[in-house]
Amino acid sequence: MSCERVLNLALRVYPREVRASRGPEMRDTVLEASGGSRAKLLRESLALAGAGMRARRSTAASLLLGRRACATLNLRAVASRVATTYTGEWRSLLPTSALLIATIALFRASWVSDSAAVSIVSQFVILFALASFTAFVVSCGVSSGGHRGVRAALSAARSTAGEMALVIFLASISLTLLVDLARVAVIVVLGLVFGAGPNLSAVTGLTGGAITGAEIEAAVGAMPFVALLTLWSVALPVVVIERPGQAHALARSRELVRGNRLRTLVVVAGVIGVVEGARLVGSLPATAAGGIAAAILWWLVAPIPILAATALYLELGEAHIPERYAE
Amino acid sequence: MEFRAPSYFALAALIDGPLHGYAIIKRAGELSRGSVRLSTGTLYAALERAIGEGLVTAGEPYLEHGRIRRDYALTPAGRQALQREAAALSRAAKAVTARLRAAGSVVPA
Repeated sequence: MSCERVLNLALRVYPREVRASRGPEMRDTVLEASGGSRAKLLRESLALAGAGMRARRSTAASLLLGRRACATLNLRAVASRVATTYTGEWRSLLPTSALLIATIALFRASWVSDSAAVSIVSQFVILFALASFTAFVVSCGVSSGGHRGVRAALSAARSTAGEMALVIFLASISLTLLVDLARVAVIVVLGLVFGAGPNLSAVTGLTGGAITGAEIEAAVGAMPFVALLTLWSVALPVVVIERPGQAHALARSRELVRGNRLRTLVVVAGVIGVVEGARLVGSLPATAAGGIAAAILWWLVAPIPILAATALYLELGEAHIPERYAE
Repeated sequence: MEFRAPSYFALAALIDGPLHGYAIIKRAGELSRGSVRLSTGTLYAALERAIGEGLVTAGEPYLEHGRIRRDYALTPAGRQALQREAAALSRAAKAVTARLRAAGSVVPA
């Protein structure tokens, strides 16, 4: 391997952004400092690789701590944007929300049909309804309202529904797999630690089955779920607004959230709280009137998670709204 | 910024005016009378930190003798930081020298 190849490899140890801004300059400085001596070039390259590793560690640490130099997400602005969009666009949002709930209600029954074909078609219809609804709500969130806004939203829903469906599908599969993996890991660890079955009350001192293995599984399973939800929280607005292709939408979301993960987590937790609250209230009434009330609640709440994701995207500071959404 | 010998001499190299990477390495070597031999990795790490703290500014890259270069210059804040560090080092050196002299164990330079 030539010394210059070693130098190029050493430069590759640096984080991408450092390579982009300083790479050629550093390379030329090393070549100049080595003065044509192979031994010096090799020594300089190895020192460069060491410095690159330190730079990478420090970048990773600053990312983990969320201290990357970027604008701090304004949580109040996110909440205000959600409220403003909801109250300003309710004439478009609520009929679409009703359409989604009706579609899901209609096709949900055949989801578990004996016929595999009927079941698959139902799942596809629901997935596309969700995708179209998401694209529509995101577009409402970025447009300034009025007929042009609704037209842009409908156009976005038509053109991005397929891509959106794929992103929702990929994200759901990944989330499910990760949660299952975390649960399996917990079961294995509990099995190893406690033998045949966990008797946590003996360990924790809590009595009456205060903590069970299943509860720990659920808690640990929820952690990667919430973490991924935080990282991918703006993937859906990215699909509609930037259209980078489904493979890049999740990565782009991670990039946007970087530096504001804790604040994004707060928004995600708030949205989960709203949705879980609606589910809890909706599950209480057993009467027909109660069922209608629950459906109305879902109808009203359905646009909120997507509006929150759109507001997050816009407030994360790197949003470039295309011309087609301008009033 | 916490100064260690390499970053101290790298910044001190810029006292007389802006320099590019390799020139900083050479000047730091001269200033330290050969006791500090900056590697390129150490130099750029120190420069990045100094730029981040507003002690140094980086110019636009340019080509000279077929090499890509960029000049680095000390900011007023960088000059002040360097002055403070030099004063602190001088005080520390004086204190230790005085103690050694009092103990009668000063070895002539």
